[in-house]
Amino acid sequence: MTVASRSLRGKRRKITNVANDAPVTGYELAEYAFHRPPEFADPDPPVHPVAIVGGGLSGLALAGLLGLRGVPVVLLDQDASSGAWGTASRGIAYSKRTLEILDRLGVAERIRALGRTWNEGRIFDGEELIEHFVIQPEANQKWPAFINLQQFHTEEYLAERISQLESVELRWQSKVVGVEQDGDVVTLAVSTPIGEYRVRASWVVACDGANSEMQVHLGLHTPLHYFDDMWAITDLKVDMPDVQRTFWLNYPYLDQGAAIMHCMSPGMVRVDWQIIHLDPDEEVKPARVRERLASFLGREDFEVVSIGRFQFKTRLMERFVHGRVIFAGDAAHELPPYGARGGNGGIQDAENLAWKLEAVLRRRAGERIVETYELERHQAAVENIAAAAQSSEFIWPSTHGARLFRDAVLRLARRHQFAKALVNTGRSSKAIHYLSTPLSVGDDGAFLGGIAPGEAAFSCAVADGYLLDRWDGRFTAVYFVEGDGPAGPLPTEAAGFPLDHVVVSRSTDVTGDLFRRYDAGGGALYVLRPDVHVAGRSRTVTPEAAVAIVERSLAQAHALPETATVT
Amino acid sequence: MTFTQEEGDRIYARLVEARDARPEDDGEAFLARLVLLLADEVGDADRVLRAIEDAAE
Repeated sequence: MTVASRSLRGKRRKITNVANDAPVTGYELAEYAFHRPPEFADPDPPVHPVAIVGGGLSGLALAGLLGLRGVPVVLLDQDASSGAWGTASRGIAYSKRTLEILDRLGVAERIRALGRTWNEGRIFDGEELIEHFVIQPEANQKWPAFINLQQFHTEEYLAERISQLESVELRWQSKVVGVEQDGDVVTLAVSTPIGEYRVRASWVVACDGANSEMQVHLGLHTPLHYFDDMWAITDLKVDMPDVQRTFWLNYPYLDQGAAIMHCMSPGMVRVDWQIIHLDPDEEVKPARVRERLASFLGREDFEVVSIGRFQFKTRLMERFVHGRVIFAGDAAHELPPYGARGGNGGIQDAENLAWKLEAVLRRRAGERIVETYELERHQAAVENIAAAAQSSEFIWPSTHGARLFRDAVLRLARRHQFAKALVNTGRSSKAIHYLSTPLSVGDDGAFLGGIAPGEAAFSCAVADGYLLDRWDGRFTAVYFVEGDGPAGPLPTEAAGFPLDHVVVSRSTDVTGDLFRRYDAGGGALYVLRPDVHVAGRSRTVTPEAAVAIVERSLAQAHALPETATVT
Repeated sequence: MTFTQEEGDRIYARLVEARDARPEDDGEAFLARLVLLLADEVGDADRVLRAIEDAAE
């Protein structure tokens, strides 16, 4: 039995972020016990392959993904539960790409079971409905565009799942108070209820969230950019089974501020409203919160579970990789919540990094491959921050020009479809297309469309499940064939990496969507990376071509300079 | 909409940026110049006149 599984002892503790305030009932979160670590008081502690600092979404996802790959991991979290910090302002919306990753981690079905799948929403300008949108679900998909669920549920599911993985050890109540790098070893000073000890690791991944203390320990300073925007964020228990995502701009009872309402787990709703132009202190007092909520909901039979106040800000580290310490999730990039790009981005960071760390630790690849994490996820963070900032500028314009055009769009949106499309209350998180990564191999020019190198693979229903159900976290050659698949024994590795093979024929592709989306008529080969982004593709549908793509992809990554420049 | 959402967002952001970059006393004139240029690009008097009526509503 691992320490992790012992630490889940079924106790729960109540967390409220409004101290001693009876009207706010708070959440009950799973409580995890502290256990004396094996190397406590060891003068020469062992070197773990990977230590992760922080047990939020990105840290837990990374621990799980590494654990599935059999990489030994120690995860250190300062608290005794997930979700204890800022319970009100945490993520709720999981995108399709993220759900695919969570599915691999074995928790997506639980999220679907407790969460709310949604695809419909309304946008009001004042009290006038200007847009009722329906995100058409893509046919034959395993996962919807979005499922909403409070973040702590997902974290608890992940912690529970990870506790079943032999190679992962979760250490709660373990606060990192110092970091030293010496050559190939990082030493963490860890404070616990029984005193301080040292954890040594070959690689440390800092997933310690916004206001990362790991940055402070390393003497890094990343400037914060504050938006002139602050919101009250409330979770409430109310019987509104049909609640849709609703966004109000220029809400008259908020002095023209904005507000949003979201569904969550059954009986739970989140309502947020802008307070920067009001009295922020007054707005988060329980009496005022109840007053506001009664106005939004038109009813008073609700129970306030949590209240928070959140100033929107962005912070982007210049580099995510500092020697053997790598930053991920909010520790590396903070952004406003519009579009649900924070938590989704953190989980996608984890997926991008896990296979690369495994490759370095198993000596399948040199350390240069970690620089591709830097390049790819920095690009993702820049895109996510830009999209969230543009939404923020629409919702609460900061300049004369921004307000002029925003108001013009809102007025035109009442009658013109093109203007409705410009109403930007958050552009949804989606998979990033890695544009200039060395891991992408240019194709042979024979594709007019399809999924380009660097894009995430497209999955949909096949004869016996879904395409990505067959993917096992390795480089995978997908052969689209009009006749027979590749003959003879297939190579099981390429460039030292395991290589899987999947054959898609017209009879496998029962919907026809795969051949169409991959522009695979007449035959095509796609090579997927271990994080299911496309490494390369070819019209030469042979195992040799697949091996060549993997070799070239990795050779290009190894040719990166030691610290690649982010452009 | 004639554009994709990404294209629309890019145009919108550039419009805001360009308008804010003009001196205060040139903001309205900038918009007038832009409208005239776009009317010329449309190249269809009926459509331009219809757009003028729509904007006036």
